[in-house]
Parts: sequence; structure tokens; C-alpha cells
Amino acid sequence: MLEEKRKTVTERLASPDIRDEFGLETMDMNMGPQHPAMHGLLRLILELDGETIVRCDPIMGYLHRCQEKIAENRMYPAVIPLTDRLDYFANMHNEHGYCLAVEDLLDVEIPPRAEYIRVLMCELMRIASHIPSIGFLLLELGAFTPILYAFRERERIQDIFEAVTGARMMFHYIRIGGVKADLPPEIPEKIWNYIEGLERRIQPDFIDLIEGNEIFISRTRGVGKMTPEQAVELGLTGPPLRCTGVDFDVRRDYPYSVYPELEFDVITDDAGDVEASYRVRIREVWQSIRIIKQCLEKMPEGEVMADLGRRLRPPEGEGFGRVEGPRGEFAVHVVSDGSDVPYRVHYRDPSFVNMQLLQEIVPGHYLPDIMPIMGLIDPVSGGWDK
Amino acid sequence: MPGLGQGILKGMAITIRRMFEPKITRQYPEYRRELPERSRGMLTVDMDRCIACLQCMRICPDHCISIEQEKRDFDGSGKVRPYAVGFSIDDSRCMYCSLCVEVCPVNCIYHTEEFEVQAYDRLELARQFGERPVDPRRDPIPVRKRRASRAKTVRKEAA
Ligand code: SF4
Ligand code: SF4
Repeated sequence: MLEEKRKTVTERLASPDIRDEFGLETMDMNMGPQHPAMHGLLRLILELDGETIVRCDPIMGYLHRCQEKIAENRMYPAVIPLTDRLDYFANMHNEHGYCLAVEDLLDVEIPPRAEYIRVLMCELMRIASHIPSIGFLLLELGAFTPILYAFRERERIQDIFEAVTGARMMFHYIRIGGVKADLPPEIPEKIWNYIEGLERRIQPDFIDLIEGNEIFISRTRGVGKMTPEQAVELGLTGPPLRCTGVDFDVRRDYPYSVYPELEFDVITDDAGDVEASYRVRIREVWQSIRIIKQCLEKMPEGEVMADLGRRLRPPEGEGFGRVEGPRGEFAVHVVSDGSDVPYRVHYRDPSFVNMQLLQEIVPGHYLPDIMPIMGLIDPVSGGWDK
Repeated sequence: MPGLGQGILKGMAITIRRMFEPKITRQYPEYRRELPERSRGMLTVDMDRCIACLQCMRICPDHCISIEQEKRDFDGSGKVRPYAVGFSIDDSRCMYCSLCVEVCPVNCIYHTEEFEVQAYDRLELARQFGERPVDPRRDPIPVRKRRASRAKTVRKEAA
């Protein structure tokens, strides 16, 4: 169907005479960069044949901040607050990825308590990112209330983060060699209460409301359909990959931190469309809750920071760290030349890589389907533009 | 279609239930939440304790701290100690990352609970703490120096 559509349009365009004569032509349309429904600053050049999209080219770079170049001018610890600005919806994972890369260079041992706190924070962050992304997906379909419910949950998690790290969004909490400070004494109980409340709320507030809703199904089922082969070819990771049925999760397949000691399932779905990505996300929230409970139970006492000395000068070499962020695999490659500033830092951001599916998947869909597909990728403009 | 209208009913049920729950929205300017102990607000410096070691200026990723250092003989014994005559923190650049607070050896730079600032001019946001005002736009010398020294070593190795 898609191939046909493309062919007919190409054939029609092949002969300019016909185009002039019958007025048959496709229309170019710009969507964004400032578009109320767009995730951040993204411009899509769409070629439309009637309501059907023939070509979709994402233009990125409206939020480019030279993150990688700036990192070459900052001391190793001073890069961490900048990584917070990459994917600002999942900053903990960015910090974790960067710290893993530098620790790989330094070859240090992290105190076990710090590892547990890191995982705990990352999983809370995953909940705080997945629930609003479901809210955004519904917002783009025209339902306004779920986003408020989603942000209510995120707000509660942010309150916890504020008490632990001191900031609501830009945490700067995970450090090279551990975490900044131990959890305040009242926080484990607060997290536990929140998690139990969320367990109670998630069914009526999200699952019951969304699953089975006709408008939701008719707008998302079969939209953005892709095969596992396509998803692998495009290099997708995270929920967009797992919703096609490919069983891949960095937490399990390339274990880091204390994930091998924790029990959790990797959620997959076979449908490979927008609805499946929603299902993967909401079920991953359950898994995160499971991980958080285990972390709180197993957390040992002790130090939270390894002693690395005042001035950090990693030996010459390369370090690599990868974490499973809410949007997919976030990886950092750090090259050191032996001085106290990195020689090169490269971020592989899932939003950027997953965005490729726009060019492949979108053609053949109707124009309003773009928004659910953006909800499937759930990109963050700080992430794709770096 | 049996499912028709069910979505609306479900939604309304939640709406009605919500009506009897306490609201979580806060009316911000009137109602102010108590900030947690660790919360990071605007910075302030206790100039009496600052030993002008310039560590905070070096670590700051945004180069928002500018310090003018002077050697001073405090007690007339002929022993000179560095002294920060000018100290400015540019709040328009600061990202409240807390790195400067952590490196300070005498803990004289710290976060306050203030977080609301406004000014008509960007330069007004640079707060001066020392005896003499410093230009907050001054280029960060340490980074330039460091890059230059690195370039030198690279050149030396190449030669
Ligand atoms: S908090 Fe961070 S950005 Fe602000 S002055 Fe200190 S080091 Fe610089
Ligand atoms: S690190 Fe502390 S003592 Fe040193 S210059 Fe900065 S404020 Fe003063």
C-alpha cells in the first residue's frame, strides 16, 4: 500500500506536463518547529498527497547547545550537571551513563549502597518519565485530563527528588565514584508510601481509563506499525523496539550497577504500533515499582562515595557506559588524554536514534497520525539536539 | 455497539471521585511550600571566611564566579595572605549545580533558600560581595590556561 502510494506519486511527478495540466501535485507542508502539539522544537517537512503523507523529513537542531564540545572544556566532575540538560525528562539516566563511562576509565569500585541508591533513583526517574509520556500521547490525541494526572504523579516524584538531591529537575546527584549524599533518613519511608499509593492509583487513573477506550483504540491501533526487522534495522532501542516484540533491554543483556541482583521482567509486545508502545510503557512502570521495592529492602548500609582524591585525572584511554533510559539506550563514550578535562565525549541519545523511524514509518499514514507516532517515539528535544 | 459511551462514564466516575479528594494544586505566590533542607537556591558568600583559593572559580562549569585576588598583609607581620577584594556571582549564568559549594575548603560559599530573582538588565543579576566590584563578564582565565598548556604538551609530544 505504502509502496504503491509512493510509486504513483513519483510517477505522477515524473512528468511535469501532466502535473501542470491536471493540477495533480503534492503539497509541501512544514510542521513545527513551533507547533503546539510537537514534542519540543522539531520541524517536519511533510509532502502531502491529499491527507496522506508521502515523505516526512525531520529537521533537527533548533535546540543544539554543543553539549559534546562544551564537555571538552570542562573538568570531569563539571560535565555531570551539563549531562542533566540532555534528556531533561530522564536526567538521572544521563548522569548515570556519564559516570559509568568515567568510572570505566578510572577503574574504581563503587560502594554497594551508592549503587543501590543510583538504581533506586533511576527507576523512580523511569516512572516519572513513562507516566507523563503516556499523558503526552493522550494529550496529542485530544484528551487533556490524563496529562494532569500524569503530572500529579511526576510532581510527587519530584518532591522526593528535591528532598534527596536538592533540585527538582537538574539533579546533579550521581557523581563519579558514587552519589552526592546519602538518602535523608525519612526518605525511604516516603518512597515506599508513594510507591504503594501509585500501585493503587495506576489501575483506575490510567489503565482503566485508557485501555478499551474507543477513541484511543481507533487512533492508535495499527498506527505506526513496524516489524521487528525494521525496528532492529533502524537501531531503535527502548519501548519503540520492545513494542515490536524484540526482547532487548540493556539492564538485563549488558548488566550494569546492581541490576543482576534484582528481579524484573523485560516487557515486550507483539503489535508494534502506538497502542503496543503504550502497553509496554505502563507495564514497565509496574516493573520499576518492583525494582524500587527490592532496592529499598536490599539496600545495605555504608559509604556512598568512593575516595577518588581532589583532582580527577583519569589515565589515557577510553571509557564507555551504557544505561537503559526510559526512551532507550543511553550510551556515553569518553576519551581521555590524561589531563583533567575529557578529550572527547560522545553521547548516544535514544531520542536522536529513535527519531529515524519517522522517515521510514510515517509515509503512508494520514496527517493526524503523526502525533500518535511521535508519542510512540516520545523524543525529548534536549536529547536529540544535544 | 455495546462499548459506546462507556469511556465517558468511566471518565466521569473518576471526575466525581476526584471532587471529594483533597486538591494538590497550590496557589503559588500566596502559598509557599517549605523547601527541603538540601534545596539549592541562590548562592551567597561569607567574605570574612573566604581565603581566596579560587577553587570555586576554577570548577564552575558556567564561569559565573569572578574573583579579584590581592595579596594582603593582615596583621602587619610581613606575612602576606591572598585576599578576595572583588567577588561576584553572576546569577544569570549560575545553574545551581552546587559544585562550588562542594569544593570550597572553608565552606564559606553556600546556597540560600532564595530562588526568585528579577532585574531589568542582565548585569544587575551579578551580585557583588567584595570591596571592589569585578566585571562579571570577565573571561575565565583558568580554562584558557589549561587548554593552552594542553596544546603545549601535545605540540611537545609531536615534535
Ligand atoms: S552553583 Fe554551579 S554554576 Fe552556580 S556558581 Fe556554583 S559552580 Fe557555578
Ligand atoms: S572556594 Fe571558598 S574559600 Fe575558595 S575562593 Fe571560593 S568561596 Fe573563597
